Amino acid sequence: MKKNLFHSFALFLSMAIMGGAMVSCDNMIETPPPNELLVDDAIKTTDDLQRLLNASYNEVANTFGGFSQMMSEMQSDNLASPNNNDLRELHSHNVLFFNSTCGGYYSILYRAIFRANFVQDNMDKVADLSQADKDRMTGEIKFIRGLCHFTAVRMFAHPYGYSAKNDHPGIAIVKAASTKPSPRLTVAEAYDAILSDLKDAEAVLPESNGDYADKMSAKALLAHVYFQMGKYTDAANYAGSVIDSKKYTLSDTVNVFSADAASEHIFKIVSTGINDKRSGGYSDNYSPGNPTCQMSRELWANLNVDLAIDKRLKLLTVVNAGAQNEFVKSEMFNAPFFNVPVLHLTQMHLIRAEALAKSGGDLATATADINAIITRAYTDNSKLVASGSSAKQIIDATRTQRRIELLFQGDRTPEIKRLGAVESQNIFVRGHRWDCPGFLLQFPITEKTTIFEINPTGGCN
Amino acid sequence: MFTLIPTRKAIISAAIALFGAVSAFAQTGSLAGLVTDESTKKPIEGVTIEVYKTDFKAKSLANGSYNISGIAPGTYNVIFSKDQMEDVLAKVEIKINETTNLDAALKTAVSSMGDVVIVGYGRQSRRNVVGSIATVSGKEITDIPAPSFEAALQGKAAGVQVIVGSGMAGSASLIRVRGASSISAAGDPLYVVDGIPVSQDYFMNRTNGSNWGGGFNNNPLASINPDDIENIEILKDAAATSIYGSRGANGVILITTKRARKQGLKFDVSARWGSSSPTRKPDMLSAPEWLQLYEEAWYNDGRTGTPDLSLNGIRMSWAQANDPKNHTNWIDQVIGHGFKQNYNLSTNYMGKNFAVKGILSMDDNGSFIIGNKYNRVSERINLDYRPIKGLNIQLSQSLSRGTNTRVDASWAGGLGSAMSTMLPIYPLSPLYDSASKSYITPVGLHTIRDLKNWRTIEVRSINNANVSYEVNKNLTVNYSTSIDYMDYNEYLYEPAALIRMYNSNYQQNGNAKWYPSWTMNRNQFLTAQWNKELSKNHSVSAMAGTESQHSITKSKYVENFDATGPIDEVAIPDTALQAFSRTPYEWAFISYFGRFNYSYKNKLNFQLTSRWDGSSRFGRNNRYGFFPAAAVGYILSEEQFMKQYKWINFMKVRAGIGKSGNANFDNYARWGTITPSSNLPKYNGQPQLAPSRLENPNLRWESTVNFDAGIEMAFAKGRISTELTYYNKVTSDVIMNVSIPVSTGFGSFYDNVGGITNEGVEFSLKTVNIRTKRTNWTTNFSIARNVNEITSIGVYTPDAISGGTNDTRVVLNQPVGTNFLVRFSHVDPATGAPVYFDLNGNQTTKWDPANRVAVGNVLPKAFGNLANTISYKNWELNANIYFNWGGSIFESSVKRQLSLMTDWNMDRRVLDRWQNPGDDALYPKMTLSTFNHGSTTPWINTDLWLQDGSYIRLRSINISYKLPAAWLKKSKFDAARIMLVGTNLLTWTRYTGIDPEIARDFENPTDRNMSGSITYLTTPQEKSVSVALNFSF
Repeated sequence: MKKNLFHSFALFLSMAIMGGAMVSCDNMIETPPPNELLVDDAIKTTDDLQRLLNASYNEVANTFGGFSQMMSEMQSDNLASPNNNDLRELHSHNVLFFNSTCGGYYSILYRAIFRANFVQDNMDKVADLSQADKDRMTGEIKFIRGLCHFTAVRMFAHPYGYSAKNDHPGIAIVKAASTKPSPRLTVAEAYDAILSDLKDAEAVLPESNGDYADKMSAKALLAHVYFQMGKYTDAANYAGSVIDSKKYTLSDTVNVFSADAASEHIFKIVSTGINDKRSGGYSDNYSPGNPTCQMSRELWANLNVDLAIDKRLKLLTVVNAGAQNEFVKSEMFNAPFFNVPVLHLTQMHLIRAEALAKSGGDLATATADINAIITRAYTDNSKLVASGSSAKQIIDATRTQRRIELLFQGDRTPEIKRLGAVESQNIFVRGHRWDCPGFLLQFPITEKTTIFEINPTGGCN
Repeated sequence: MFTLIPTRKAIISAAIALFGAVSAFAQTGSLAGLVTDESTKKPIEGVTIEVYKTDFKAKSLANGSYNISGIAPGTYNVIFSKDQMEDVLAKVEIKINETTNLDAALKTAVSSMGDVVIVGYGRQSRRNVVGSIATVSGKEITDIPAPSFEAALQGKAAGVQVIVGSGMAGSASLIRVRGASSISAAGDPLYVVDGIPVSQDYFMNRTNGSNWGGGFNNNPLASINPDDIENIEILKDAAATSIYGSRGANGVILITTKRARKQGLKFDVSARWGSSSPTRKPDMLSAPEWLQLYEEAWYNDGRTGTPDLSLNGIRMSWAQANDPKNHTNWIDQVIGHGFKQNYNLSTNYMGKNFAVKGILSMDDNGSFIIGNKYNRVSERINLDYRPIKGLNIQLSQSLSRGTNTRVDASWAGGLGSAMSTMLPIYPLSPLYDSASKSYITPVGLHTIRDLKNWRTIEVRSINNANVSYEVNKNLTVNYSTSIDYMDYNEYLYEPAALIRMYNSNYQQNGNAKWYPSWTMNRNQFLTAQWNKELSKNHSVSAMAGTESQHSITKSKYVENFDATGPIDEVAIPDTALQAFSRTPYEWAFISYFGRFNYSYKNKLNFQLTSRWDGSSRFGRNNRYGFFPAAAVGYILSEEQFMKQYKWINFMKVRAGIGKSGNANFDNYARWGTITPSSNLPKYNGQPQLAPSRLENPNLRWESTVNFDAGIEMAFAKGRISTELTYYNKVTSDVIMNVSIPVSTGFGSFYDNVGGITNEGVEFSLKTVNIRTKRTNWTTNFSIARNVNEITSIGVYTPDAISGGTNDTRVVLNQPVGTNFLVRFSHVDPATGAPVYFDLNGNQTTKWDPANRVAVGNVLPKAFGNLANTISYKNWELNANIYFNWGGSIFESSVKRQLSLMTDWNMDRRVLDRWQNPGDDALYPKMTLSTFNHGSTTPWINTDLWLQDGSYIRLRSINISYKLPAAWLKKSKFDAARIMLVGTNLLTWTRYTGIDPEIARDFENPTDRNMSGSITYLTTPQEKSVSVALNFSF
């Protein structure tokens, strides 16, 4: 009896073990996804890293090919109310967190950052990566991160100078590829991170890097960042070092988007052909017969007094003149595809002119900077700044020119915020003061976590 | 298994042959006696006592006694028989004026299901089961016509919520066992047919980015023939489900198919014919009413003159719109009566060591939507073979072909259009505008339906081979291997005649599209079962096993833009077909499991189970999960101290705790992947490689710890039996497809994030109210209450998880599927404008989604069923009343049907709108501009569209009549029954929409978990009347 019991139990055990052997092949539960590459298989060479980095540039191109610029212009006093629900929320400074255009804009900025971070985090997978390539890529990664973070903080947070310590809510700063949500840092922390990235980029980027970011790109962007912060000495220095490098020359054309202006382009979004057009953010929104982006009537009324002498105004058309449905559209973006300058020499001259004047710098240089722009823009010399003009005269002239020169380039809204926050101007857009809560883009609702509070809705009255 | 019966049956047959009845005499005698259960020695009611080859027949009473008089003297064979029990044959001599006593003791048949419960990888006697398992017989499934077998489970088991899909043919029901404990992993129970977890992906054929789906989810269970089902076991608690490990947490539904059970050759034939219509038709505005409202909106907005319809993109002039010639009731163009027919032939043969069951079925289920039906033709053969003693071979094979003749629905067209964009001012034939050379009104819904040839054809074969060998009296080994093969094809053909209505320049013959997919799901398991009676009081058993399962689905998309017919019907050379491959998906599990049972004196039962599951879906740090459970059952009524309570016939208490999981989530979410350069555009002329997903090495099953305690009792000689169960399910590591902050660079990510608890009670009561010779009345009542709460959502906020477009959210401390909406206050009597509440409860005229709060949820507070069966002689009346208490219904589409005047038709309820200052109206004033509703975006959700979802429904009522045996005697039939069945004939509810039972088309598993009871142009439920015939011979 006992023996029988033992036998059957032993048999029971051996069956169980046999069964285990039958299927204990762990490979069976390794079923990797088809049609996609696994990270370890995909990243082996420098070229693989280069392709990954190009994917980050691809997102930069999709953002800065006109989309980002339009989102900024839409909040400003440069454009009329658009015939588009989402954009109208921007125009009326009442962006809901379900606004998918705004949410899409935010996500694309951070997708560029993520892809840049992904390259950074996977560089060590390529054993034979040269130091030169490593430095260059690291610089490009930090440049892209700086550019996108800087754009986000300008659009989604109140400006630098809004609070005394700049401890008001800023943005998420993301420096590693991760699915972990990031906290909302203060504006001061955000600017620290942006400056740190851009200075690192400046240090390691090569002098030239084809169509991609190089040392001058980092310097030009630093000039913008310091200028936005009201740190005018630094701004003037960086703008100066770009101008003085003599790598770029002012073109004769007043349309910086034309091919003739290539000598001015410091960092640009490249369109190689109609099938690889990255300028749609401009051409789709400004060029159609009844475009989404039409110039505001107030601005047109301001500018058209100089219609006869200002060459830049020739790039604008009045449609349905005199009729109730009259509007003003731009003709700057009519080419089927074109390169979009994100950083260019005109900006450097404008920054240096004002920054020198603000910081007690060399007014002669400042005067020369602004007069170079004025000379190109007008058919006569009536607008030139006389030598020996005061700092204030230079500043006033520069601000006037800045608005026209950088029209539709997304400069006006940050400029209004700078004038309000740093220059303490009581400046309004459509009756909304620069610091009213709705004068910000709204984060998509999914951004909200226990460590990230989004902006309030609207609130500009 | 069947061998015990044949032996005995063989004896009976032989005996019958030997002892033929003698002819009748004028004077008679009687036969009387007592029928008892051989094991319990208790009397058995309802045993048929038949004096063979005569008309004399009786049934034993509750006390087990029977009496047959008027039998002519002689020697007879008497057969005692009862379902689920082995027949007993006795020889008896009847003498004139004497009552011969004949007692019998019957044994429970081993092959029967009555007191034997199928548990995972084995079976147990119901007495000794320590888990919570509900059994539903096949007859209960087939007695009511349903779109698919799982719909018929409604009300059959306490705590099993079944929301029947819409009235669309073949629609999928939403089933939740004991609440909702999943969010992005599929929350449906695991379906196991004859041992194989079958393919059950409701979203299988959904194509990314395409509108295909047509407002309808594929139902993978519709191809399973309900007539194949012997019975269904629903495993509810961990003691029962943890043997299914990482896949058991949402309950397991075990389906056992029919096998031969009767000696010899037997046939069953059944047929059913019926007609269906909607429970309620959508009540839309007529053309004059709609025009009146448009005009009202026009003037309300401060406009003057003749209203201009072009503001809303309508190209008709005001005069054309007002021409009655053009007016159409589109609802009537879409809704008709459905015709249903069902035929079933089943054969049974049982020989000495061989048995076979064959089933042939045809079901033609026409819905009330004109042009929509589901047709299923199926075949099943189940073989049992016992070549040598101890070796038992079972083969189960089925093949079915389900054809769904499709129409558009919901947001995709058809009835959905009739309820929305198909305005009553549009004529049957579209108006042609010669100036623009185009139609200025949409193509008629009937025209689209008639011209579009759209079918899904699913061929499915579920096959299983099972070999068991009794090594000795203690040990049995069992090997099972199965294949569930599914071949799913969707064919769409749009002929030139249809396309030209949209595009007059179209020159080709037509568009043909074909979406095939193939799923090969293979499973095998090996178990060893060891039983030992250690002594008189102690017995133990142990089972150990290992299982593997692998499934792969391949699919593609094929099209031809110059086809004269559907791809399956006309010959199109392969070269003319454009084929696009679609991503296959694949998953696998490897498992080891065991169960140990100990029984003391057959009254105290302990059970330990455990399972280790490895899955292709689990991240590299969590390849295997461990799922243990322990449970105890104690039959108190066996104890001496209970004997004094004579009114208690049976009492069992049981309790168990254990862990099970849910691993039904995205197959590839754990992998870090990169999109190859070939699939990406170039930037600046240079190739890209883009990371598409980051690896999640920690991704794993969601884990539910389930405590369950219950008491089962029977009183009053078994005439009252009850079961009361309490359970508490704590789910952690809930899989969420989190819409993570996009600042991570991603939109969404699968992660183990949250926690959910479900706590509830289930109560069921079965009473035998009347039990006389002719009349029987039994009542079955069940009710279940479940309280659901989300206990954690990590760092995320409600919007991180959304139930599709339905505005349900995951909100901390609220139930799964919370309606998260801006609160509507009232319509301002002065202006007619809507007034909302802000977060602080202050009134505001501005609609801002930042003011959304939890205002309701889709889960009911309680639900249950009341079933009454009354039989009188050969008549039987059966009525099922299903009730649902609480739970909110959100009408997602009425924001366009009851609010803004747009290019949609409106629901007649809108007539209660503000018209003049001082009006106290339910709905705001008519307007064409969303700004007049305080919003910058047009389609806004508020709790004005939210209602209480309570209802009571006469789910089914049937009356059947069994033909008397005397009539049948002359025919060859053993039994015959005719039955009239009505479903959903009556509904009581305060819900003002169409139908309170709602399972809309879902976008993905998250939506399916969170958006039950949300309607969006959803097709109503059907009501039906059918007549059915059953014959056995």
